[in-house]
Amino acid sequence: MKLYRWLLNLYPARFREEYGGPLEQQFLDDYREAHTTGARFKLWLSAVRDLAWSIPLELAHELRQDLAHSLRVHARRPFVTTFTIAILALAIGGITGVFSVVNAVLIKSLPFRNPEQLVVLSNSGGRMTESSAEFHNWRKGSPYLDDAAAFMVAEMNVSGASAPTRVAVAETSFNFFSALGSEPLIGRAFAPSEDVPGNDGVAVISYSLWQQLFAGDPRVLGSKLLLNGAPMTVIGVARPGLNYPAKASVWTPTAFDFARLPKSGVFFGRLSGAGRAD
Amino acid sequence: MPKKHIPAPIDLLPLSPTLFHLLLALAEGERHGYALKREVARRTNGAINPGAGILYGSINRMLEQGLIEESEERPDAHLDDERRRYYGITPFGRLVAQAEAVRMRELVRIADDAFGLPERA
Repeated sequence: MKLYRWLLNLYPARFREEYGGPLEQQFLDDYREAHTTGARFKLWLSAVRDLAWSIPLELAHELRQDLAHSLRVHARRPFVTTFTIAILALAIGGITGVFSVVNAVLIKSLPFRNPEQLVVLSNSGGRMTESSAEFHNWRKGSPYLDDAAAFMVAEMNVSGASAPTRVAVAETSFNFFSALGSEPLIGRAFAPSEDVPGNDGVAVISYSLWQQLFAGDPRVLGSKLLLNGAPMTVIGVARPGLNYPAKASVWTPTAFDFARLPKSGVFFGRLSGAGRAD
Repeated sequence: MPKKHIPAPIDLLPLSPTLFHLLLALAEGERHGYALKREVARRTNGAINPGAGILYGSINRMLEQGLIEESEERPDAHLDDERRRYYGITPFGRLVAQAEAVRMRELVRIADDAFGLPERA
């Protein structure tokens, strides 16, 4: 009986309040008349079939009644209804907008390892350092940073397997990907010797550029690209979604190749324990 | 207070077999839910034997449509069970049941013209 009473909770509240008592009573009457185990089993079967059929019917009936009532009420007050719908539309639009920002800024995590440790360090313009060696000595000596990488972004023409296209190219120090905490999906990141002028003709391309220019072909490693006419060898493909900084599609270890392009740089660093405490 | 729309009997047709038999059973007098179910099962040789959920759902619908009403009169105390509710058919309910019977009679006439019906199936 307890089970049957519990199943009655699946009816809409209004129907249950009105007919819960008679329903229980009828089940009890039938149960008293079923003397054998077989008869009781058949009674339960028919009760379950009845509930499975009637509960959805009552829920649909209740929903239809509520909708009809709501339509009648709103049809009598068209101005109030229009005003309410307008306010609701504005509120939903506003909340959706705010959520989109909160989601992008606070909830959706960046595709980097421990992104809360990353900080952007910007110098006031001009050449950021004299050489690769000077930069790496500085970052290794900083008590506040576990690591730091240099980068700058320029728009360049990329050509190779297909027609030239204009993309954002990030010129970085060799340790860009390891400092960011996002190793390439295939291939490798830059080696320490590769951010030295004369030895820096390699590139990592973004996942979307890989799809666009090479149709996702894994044999892309070793292919040649021309960046503003300068040949670069593709050595890796970045993880999907990585386009930092400035929606970059190509990364090259040419941050210190001052002859290649005029540069004014930006750094990002990964704070050490001391840096986070300060 | 807006006027409530009162449907014509024909607007509620066709009735489901269960609803029609419930109205027919109530035409003879007031009954409580369980008695109504047993009467319908008896009349139809068990072909229509609504479970409690279907029965009270149908009663609820008939009350809303004004086909039946809950009776305030109670049987003699020694025959009465306080927990039970008694229902009776309304004049409107009679009209709807009659309209359904007329509809079925028309249907039978058309079938008879078409196939020629035997006296008994």
